[in-house]
Amino acid sequence: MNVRSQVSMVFHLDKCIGCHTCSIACKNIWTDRKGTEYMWFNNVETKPGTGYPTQWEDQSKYRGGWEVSGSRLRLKSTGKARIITNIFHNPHLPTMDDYYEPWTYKYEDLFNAPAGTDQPTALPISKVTGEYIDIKAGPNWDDDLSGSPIYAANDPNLKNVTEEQRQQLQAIERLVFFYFPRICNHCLNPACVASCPSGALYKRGEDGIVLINQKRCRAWRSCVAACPYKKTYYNWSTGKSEKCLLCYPRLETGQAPACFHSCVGRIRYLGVLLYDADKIEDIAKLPPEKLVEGQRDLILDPNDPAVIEAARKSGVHESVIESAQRSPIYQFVKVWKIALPPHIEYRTLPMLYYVPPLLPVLGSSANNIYENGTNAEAIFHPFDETRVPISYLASLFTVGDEAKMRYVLRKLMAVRTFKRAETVGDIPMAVALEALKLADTTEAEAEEIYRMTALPTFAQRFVIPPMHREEAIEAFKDPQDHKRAAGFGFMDAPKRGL
Amino acid sequence: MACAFLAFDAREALAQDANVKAAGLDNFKKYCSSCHSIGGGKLVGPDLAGLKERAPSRDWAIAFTKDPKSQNDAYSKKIRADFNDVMSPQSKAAGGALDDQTIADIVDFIFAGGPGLAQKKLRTATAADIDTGRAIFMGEQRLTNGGPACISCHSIAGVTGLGGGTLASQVGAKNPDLTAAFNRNGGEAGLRAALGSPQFLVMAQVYGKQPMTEDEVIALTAFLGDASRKTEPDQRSDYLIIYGIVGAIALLFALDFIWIKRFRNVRKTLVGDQS
Repeated sequence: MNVRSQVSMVFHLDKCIGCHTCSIACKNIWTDRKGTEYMWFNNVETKPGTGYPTQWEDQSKYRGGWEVSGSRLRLKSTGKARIITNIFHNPHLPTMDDYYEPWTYKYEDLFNAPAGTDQPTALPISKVTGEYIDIKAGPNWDDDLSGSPIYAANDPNLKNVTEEQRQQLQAIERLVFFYFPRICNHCLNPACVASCPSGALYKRGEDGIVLINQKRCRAWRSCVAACPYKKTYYNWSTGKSEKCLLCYPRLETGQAPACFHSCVGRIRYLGVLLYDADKIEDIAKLPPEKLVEGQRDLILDPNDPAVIEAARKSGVHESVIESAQRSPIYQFVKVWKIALPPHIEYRTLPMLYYVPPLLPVLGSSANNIYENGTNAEAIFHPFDETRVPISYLASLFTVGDEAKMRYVLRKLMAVRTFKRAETVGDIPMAVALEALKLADTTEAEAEEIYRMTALPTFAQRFVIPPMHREEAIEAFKDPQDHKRAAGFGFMDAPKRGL
Repeated sequence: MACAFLAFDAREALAQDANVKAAGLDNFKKYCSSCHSIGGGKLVGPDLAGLKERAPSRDWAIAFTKDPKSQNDAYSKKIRADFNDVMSPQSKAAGGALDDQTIADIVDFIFAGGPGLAQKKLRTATAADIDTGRAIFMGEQRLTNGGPACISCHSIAGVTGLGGGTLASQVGAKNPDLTAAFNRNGGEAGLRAALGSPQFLVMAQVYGKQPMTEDEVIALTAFLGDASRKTEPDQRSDYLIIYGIVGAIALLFALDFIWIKRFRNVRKTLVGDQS
């Protein structure tokens, strides 16, 4: 057992209101420089929709992630031999049009326009060419199903959805959507790291954050092609690729990353997980139907004495183990089993988990009383009548396995039913308890889920482990000397000369 | 060893002639015999038999050999006119650099009637030689002593495809095309002599070490002669550009077809005109 620690995340999709505050917080800190205008380390997508870049989930086009070839795991996009034929041109890169051409507005026209009979207008200008542009696309062009029906209709996750359900998805008064905020998943088996010919990408040993070394990056852009989530971006101005760094300078000082910190709906949770690094390859090679359980098995119980002993042996700090024991992520993923990794079939073992949305079902009204579901007597609302088909959610989170998706939704619904019986009382408690039983949960667990979902404090949502930079620096030099010269971190100390 | 003895015997015989130095024969063979004979008839340059009687003086002969343009008497002018102002490659006018002693030795040797210089009578070419010559020119048949094929640097009418090489024009030859070489170099006898021990700047270096055999010289001469009678020289250099452009365009189309499934864009295809 080779125990490592990983800073992991849970996004609770039922709580996301799609306000994009996270995206803006991130943009203002990290990607407001020249060459990064089009990058969104954090973006919020409307589902169903094609996302950003367009149809990033369609790996038959972008060739991201891993595939099992014989007994081996290999990158879909490149390889040691295959890179030779593409050495001058990396195919399968999203074009600027697939992201969008970044633009701003000519605000000075508002002030400099001569007096006239109408209001002056600020026309859009491209941030790439500086010319006037006719905006045709943006990073969230299909926000709230806007833009054009084409985007929603071409969501790759709709492939298993029946034609009838597709028609219903687009029917008037039945339109439904939910939000899908995305950042880098800081995967356990990152395709971007594996693909880099320069060895510029790395996964930090102490917390598992995946970073690009800006000094070693040689602009191959293999990571852009290899990442199935399209979360590394090429900076055309510096000639280096960049990606979400999970605000590690904030984490190192005990603060939540900017997107977490600013989240209005409080959908984001962060905490440390302990996992067995020896098993990564075996788990990543499992057949698709075993991947969800496989990844869950990879995560170790931080209260198990054997795990604690092994963690100490491989150098995980005592305070990190203690932090892992309080991690909300462990509860969501391993104990409650209601958080699922996105598109685990890409086999990168993403460490960002989602609690799927418990979407509204068909309502019916009789005698001016609105009832969820067409069958008011049913304990659970009939999942097959959900407006977003189960097969759609299963394609996003469980490699198409609807049973696993039903398990999660049933539990979420049971918690809701139980709390309603308790607080409102219009559902008999016996029915609520029956629901909990059917959903494989207990009153105590339901209470915990409810508290962590609805009432968590800041400190409960973000259990940030101490980063122990001094231990990382110790490998290179005396941490005390380093601190006096440059502070903690790997920034270079000032030097005389050029 | 046998060769050394033979050479020794030849020198013994020459030593008996007081006016002629052994160096004269060696130098004549080395520098002159590809274009001149002594009593063997006109080659590229004039037959030098009886030069002693024709030449105004020994000094004139030395000066004229050194630089044919330096003399302006009537006889000099006539010779220059008869041979189309072609300058001997060893002369100063063509960049040659023989020292005075060597020239004097050669002139003395010529004035003595070329003692010990064997006149080789090469066999008559046959129709088969034309084909062999063509094979040698094109490099289909290797030269016995390993010299490079003519087409490496030269072209000729009737060569298909991209034509032959053009390197010869890079090193001073006026025309890499050898279609007219047969007539330029004094017909069969001249060309045979020229190929037997070539004096051209690069060819002297290349074929000096790896000379062509007699049969190869006969075959090549026959082929070049045949080519000169059959065709006019082509403007072959244009083909390279045309073939290049056409080939590049064809290649682009081929690559476009081979990688027809390559990644182009996603959004544009998806949205089409409805964006």
